[in-house]
Amino acid sequence: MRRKLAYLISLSVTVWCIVQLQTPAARAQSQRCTNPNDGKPVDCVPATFTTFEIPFATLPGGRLNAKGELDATSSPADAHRGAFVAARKLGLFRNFEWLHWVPTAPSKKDPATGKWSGGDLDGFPTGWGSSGFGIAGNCLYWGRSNSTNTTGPGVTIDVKIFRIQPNPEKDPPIEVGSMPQLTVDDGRTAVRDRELRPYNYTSTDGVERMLVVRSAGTGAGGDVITYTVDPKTCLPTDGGANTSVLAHEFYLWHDPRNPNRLLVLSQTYAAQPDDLVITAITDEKTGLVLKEPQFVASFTLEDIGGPVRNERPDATGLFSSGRFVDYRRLTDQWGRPGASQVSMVNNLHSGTMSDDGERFYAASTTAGMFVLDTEAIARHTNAELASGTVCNQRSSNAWIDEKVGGVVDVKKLPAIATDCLHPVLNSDPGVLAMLRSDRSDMDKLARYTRLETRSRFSFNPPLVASTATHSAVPVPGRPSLTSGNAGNRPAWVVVTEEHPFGPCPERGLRILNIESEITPTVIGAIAQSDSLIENCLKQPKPPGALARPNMHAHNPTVLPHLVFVNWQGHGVRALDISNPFAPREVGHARPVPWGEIVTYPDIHDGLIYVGDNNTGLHVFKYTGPYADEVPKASIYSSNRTSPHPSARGGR
Amino acid sequence: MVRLVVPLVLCTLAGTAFGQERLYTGEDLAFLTHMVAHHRQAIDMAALVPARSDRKEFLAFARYLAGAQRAEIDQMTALLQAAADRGQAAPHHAMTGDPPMPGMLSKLEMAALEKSSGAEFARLWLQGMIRHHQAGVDMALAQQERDFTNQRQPYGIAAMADDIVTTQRGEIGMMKTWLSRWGLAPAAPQR
Repeated sequence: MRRKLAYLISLSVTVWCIVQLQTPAARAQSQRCTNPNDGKPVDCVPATFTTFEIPFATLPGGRLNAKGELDATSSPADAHRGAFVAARKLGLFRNFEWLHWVPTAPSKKDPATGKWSGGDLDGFPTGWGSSGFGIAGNCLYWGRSNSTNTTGPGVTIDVKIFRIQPNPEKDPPIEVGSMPQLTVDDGRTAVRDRELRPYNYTSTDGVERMLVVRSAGTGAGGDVITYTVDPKTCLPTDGGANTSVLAHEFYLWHDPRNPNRLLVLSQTYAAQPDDLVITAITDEKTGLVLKEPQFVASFTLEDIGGPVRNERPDATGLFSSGRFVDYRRLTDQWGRPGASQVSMVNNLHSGTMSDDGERFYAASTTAGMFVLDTEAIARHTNAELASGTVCNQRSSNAWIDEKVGGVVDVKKLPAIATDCLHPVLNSDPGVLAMLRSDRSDMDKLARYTRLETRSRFSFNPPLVASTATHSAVPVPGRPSLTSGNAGNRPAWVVVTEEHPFGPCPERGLRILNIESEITPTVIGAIAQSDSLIENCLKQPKPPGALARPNMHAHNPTVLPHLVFVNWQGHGVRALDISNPFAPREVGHARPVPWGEIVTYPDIHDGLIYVGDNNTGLHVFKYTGPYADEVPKASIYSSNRTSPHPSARGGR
Repeated sequence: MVRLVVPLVLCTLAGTAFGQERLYTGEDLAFLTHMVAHHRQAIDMAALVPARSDRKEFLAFARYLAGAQRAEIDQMTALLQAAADRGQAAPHHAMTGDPPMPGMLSKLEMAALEKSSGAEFARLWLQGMIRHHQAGVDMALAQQERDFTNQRQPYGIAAMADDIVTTQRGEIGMMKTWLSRWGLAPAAPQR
């Protein structure tokens, strides 16, 4: 009897457990496997978008109280606490833990109403678009976007300098200083810190050195300024040395052959006539920061016969590479027209240099992604390059009579290979042999033009994305297995697509195969559901939100099988790229109030640090698939593709 | 600038001003209309350079400048069209006076530029374009302050105003350096 009773109890518990375990799944299954048109059950198929759908209709866009409800009068402590409550309620984190939120833009309280506004706790947009962010040693630098349009004349937020604490999971970074914000117009106009790259290194004399490079301007381009930093305090010790180059983004490269040599690769985004300008910021003999940075070399795609800048369509709307779709007659929930595109900018926007310095992966907006041969930079000293005997420091002009946009002069094409910076296409042995053959000039031009067009991967036209190719970061540690790949060059590049300022539809992330460097091709892609125009147009406005942030894939931090990418209004997404043909989302982190995460997710000793234009500094811990790839005792800052020792600086 | 980003597309932090309200205020439409007219003269000035100078950097800058200003005109025209599609035709702003707007060259100054050559042309052109650009920057700054005061981020205009301020200010610095380096005028302070 007792045994029977025990059996019955055990059976009941088992059945109860099975029901408890299966019911939610079965319920979800039945919901997912219903034809939305007629409600009838259908065979299950994978969802089109297996990404996290932000609950926009209930996503808080403003200050919260301790219960996680919108409340502009709540105290600072409650506003901070309530954000974590709301995030839990709404499921805004998966495979990420939200460890710390450090607001840095102060709020103001209206004594008449008791309402707070204008600060990070309120989700106030202190700017928009990219913001400078970087980590070296235990020093973290966070510069805000600072737009006069949002903050008003004369209101800026300095670059904040933090020290990461010995127990960073328990203790948030603490502010240890600041770099005064640059202003113009007698302080009336804000300057945006678009990029910040701190770096520590040991020069050949054995001295531990540190610097921080800043790109600061009021709009698309900013002055590139290098400051010497005291590694013990994280604080700059001088007023900075200006390169006289305007950069939209830049890459900081440290020569593995000469520890004294650091170069800044400025991507000008047409803030000036050159696309890419390389400047030496340190003395290659001593490692000291140069007071007058030295020009090393530059590259301009249109000069060598590439697509001209700001290309306009013909009267029928046809560009040289096709036709854009046009959604301008549609209207989204914010009252804005859908996207259309009236020109192709074809400017260099961003890029990543390989660790050995022999390749540069160029993200060149509507001109697409292509690979530059930078071997001359890697294999020669600055002095040799400056002598002009090694290679041409500036791009050759390949047009007949040097009339850019006219007709390419076939006879000038072989000389491009002698430019210090040139596309890999132009030094490809096959292409050079073809150009030197006895084929007719017309035949050579036709063949070269086909190859040149094919050597840049672009998804538009027809897709609308005004910046288009935004970032290009190679996948580290998984080199191409093709024969002859002595340089261990990567097989894949992660590319993000920018469609700034929000007109529908939004854009996503792609993975390109570059096993043949002169023929990049797309093999994988992932997007949020608002990459579909109909979903984007229906996306509701979150309650309390003052403004709609950018919502496209932006800056990817790339590990061998894992990508962390700031998707701006969508937060940070973790992507499993173990099968690069089918990347999948494996985690999301969307702090509230709603804002715009705009920095590379920087990794420091196993944790992830990001900046949000509306809410400040956040620290996350990733716990999902491939979490073991997140370096536990080193730094991945910005688009670097190899870890940098963290055990230096700020300790 | 065009560079900047974007076509009509450039939008913004849209904000509360959107919804079912009008896409633009009369001041926004005036900003677009005036800036288009302003940019057109810069293109006319750039077109004079190839026949009057053989300095490579000057030729490259003129080509680049014309392309950038043309692209911004395309974008602003598209924004005006988007407003017109929503029933907001731009009011007709008749330009009177000579020059019709601050910073633009008068008919006499344009004629003098066309007749000049060599160093004299470079000096007149650079000085004229510096003045022209500064007026463009001032117009963009005024738009930014208006947007802030009215708590608006008008679709496509906010980003363009930011970009005009940065880029044209950068170009002014470069042109001042050239005036000095080419021995055409006393050195002027950089940005």
